[in-house]
Amino acid sequence: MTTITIPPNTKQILLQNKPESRTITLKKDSHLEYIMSFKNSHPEEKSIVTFELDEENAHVEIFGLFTGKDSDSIKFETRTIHKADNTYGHTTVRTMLKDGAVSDYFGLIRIEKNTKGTDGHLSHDAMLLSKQAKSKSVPSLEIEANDVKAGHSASVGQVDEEAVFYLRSRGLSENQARELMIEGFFEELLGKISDENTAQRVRTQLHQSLN
Amino acid sequence: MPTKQQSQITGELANYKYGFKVEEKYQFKSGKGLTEETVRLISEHKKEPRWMLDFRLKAYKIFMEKPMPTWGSPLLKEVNFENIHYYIKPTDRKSRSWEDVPAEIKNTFDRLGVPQAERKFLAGVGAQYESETVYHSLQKHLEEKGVIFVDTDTAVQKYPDIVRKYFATVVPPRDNKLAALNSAVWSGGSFVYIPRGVHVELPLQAYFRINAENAGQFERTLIIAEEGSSVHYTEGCTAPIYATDSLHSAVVEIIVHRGARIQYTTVQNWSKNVFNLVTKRAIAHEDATMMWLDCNIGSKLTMKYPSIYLRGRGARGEILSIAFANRDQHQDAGGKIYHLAPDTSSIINAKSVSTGGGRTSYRGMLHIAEGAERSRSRVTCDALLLDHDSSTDTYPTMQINENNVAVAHEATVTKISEEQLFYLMSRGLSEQEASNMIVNGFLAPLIKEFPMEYALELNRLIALEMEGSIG
Repeated sequence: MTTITIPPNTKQILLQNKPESRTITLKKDSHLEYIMSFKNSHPEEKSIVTFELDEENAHVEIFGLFTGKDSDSIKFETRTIHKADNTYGHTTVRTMLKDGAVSDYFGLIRIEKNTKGTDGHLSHDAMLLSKQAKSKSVPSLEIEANDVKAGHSASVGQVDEEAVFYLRSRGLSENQARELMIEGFFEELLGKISDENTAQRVRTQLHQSLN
Repeated sequence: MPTKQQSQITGELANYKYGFKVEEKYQFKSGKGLTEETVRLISEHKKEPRWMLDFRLKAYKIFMEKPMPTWGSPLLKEVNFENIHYYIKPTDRKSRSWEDVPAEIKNTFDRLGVPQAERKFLAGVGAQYESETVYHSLQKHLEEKGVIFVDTDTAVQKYPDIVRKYFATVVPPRDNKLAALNSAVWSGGSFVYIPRGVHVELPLQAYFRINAENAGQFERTLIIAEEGSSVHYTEGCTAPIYATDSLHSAVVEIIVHRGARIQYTTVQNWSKNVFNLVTKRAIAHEDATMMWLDCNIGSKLTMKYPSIYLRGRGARGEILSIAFANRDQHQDAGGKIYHLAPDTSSIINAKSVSTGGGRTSYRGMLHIAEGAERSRSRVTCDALLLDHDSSTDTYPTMQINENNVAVAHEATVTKISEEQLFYLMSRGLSEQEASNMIVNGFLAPLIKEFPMEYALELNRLIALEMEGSIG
């Protein structure tokens, strides 16, 4: 288990590209952009990444971008624990699975007693590109304070056929249209990463792992 | 410390509107605790056929072997199986007309506020007093159509073929420890059989009560809707005050055949010392529709997740769930839907309100099996927190094993905003009235799905619960 502390008044971007359990503690007025993109090295492995928003105004933006093919397994948890006033934690996870790949995601937002002005959100979208792919997700909330903005959303689906049809009507081949859709699924998140180099690294990695 | 807590709970219950108790007059009451002897005694007392006794004994063994669930509410540890009466039989005779119902029992229903006109109007009233149904009335035209609406004990004697065909096929005793317990000691509950093509226009109603200190209530309900038929079954329950904890553990099994429709509506308002641990499950065949409308206001702890197995192509399932948790209460509710066939669709819509330090949890399962192509599902959970002592959890599991599907899930947690309150109060409402109105508005989309008399009762109950919860 790796532990990381984000000191007060600092701003950081971290990329986790290997499976590993970590605890990350955020101090007062710290700002973290955390990008996760990896797959398990063996099926039973599970990475639990915990974000402890320990002090006021701690702010974390978590992006998870995951792809799986063949018999890949992606098993991970994110836990965002709001322990102080005016903390912010948004988690956006996207999973794309091909062949017989499986993903198992448990995401938790926990808002502890006597905190005020917390803002917690979690969303998970999964795209299944084959019949054998399987996705399990549990986006959970544990809320013990009422001055909160908290929620989550999740969706599971496949490539939007209407959009593919539209792209084909514009002269793209079926394959081109599908590739574009698959790219777009992640591009929406990649565009939110503030550091272009990091975004590019993740983009390359995603392409390699899908093809 | 425990003494203090007890007096606090009693203090709370002192204000409990429906918390009255009629003097007990029982013909037979088993001792506390559960032994194989008790199970045999229950079966003997009911003059049951051999197969049912064997079923009970098998279930008893499973109950003894199975551990208590380790998930769910921490309050579950407080359930003490040794401290419960497993069987109580109030009177021997079953009444056919309202006049024949013993005065004491009538009194119970009078105080529940079931209007006389309504009793006559409604298709049938199965009133569960203690562990046995004592009163059953079914309108003549329903009987003529071949509809069966009796208590399950009577069904075992009178309709053994149908009972044997379906009993425990939806919820087997092995399902969980509490289902095994119910299977071993069940008593009462409703048996409803709707023949092919018959539509029951009026809701079938059953009122439930627990009325002896530590009385276990283990009713067993079985509803079968044959091809193309439809029925709406409703149950509401209120219970008197007890000094010690009480357990209610029902099993409800539903089979919706091809093209049929069943709606099952519950208003749960047990007194606040009852552990309400219930297994409810339905199987929907081809093009069938199942709807659970589940409202939990009472009890100390409720753990109940009505389930629907969409087994036939084109089957539809809908679960609407309302939970209201006040002080010392935990409503751990939700719903489960299993898409096991192509072209199936489902909706889960859950709304919860926590106040006075109460806790609500939504626990859900949405499962789409491989090959259940073109399944669609939408799950929505909204929680409203009225103060900073209350809490809410959401644990929705989505297991998707098929790619040609559309699944969406959404959850929100909100509080009553100062702005909303300020606006309403500027219009001359008190803070209490304003809060009531906001809570009403929050729950309204689900409450309007209830039959009118239930919707009215629900709004009254919620207003009652809201008293003193603000400020």
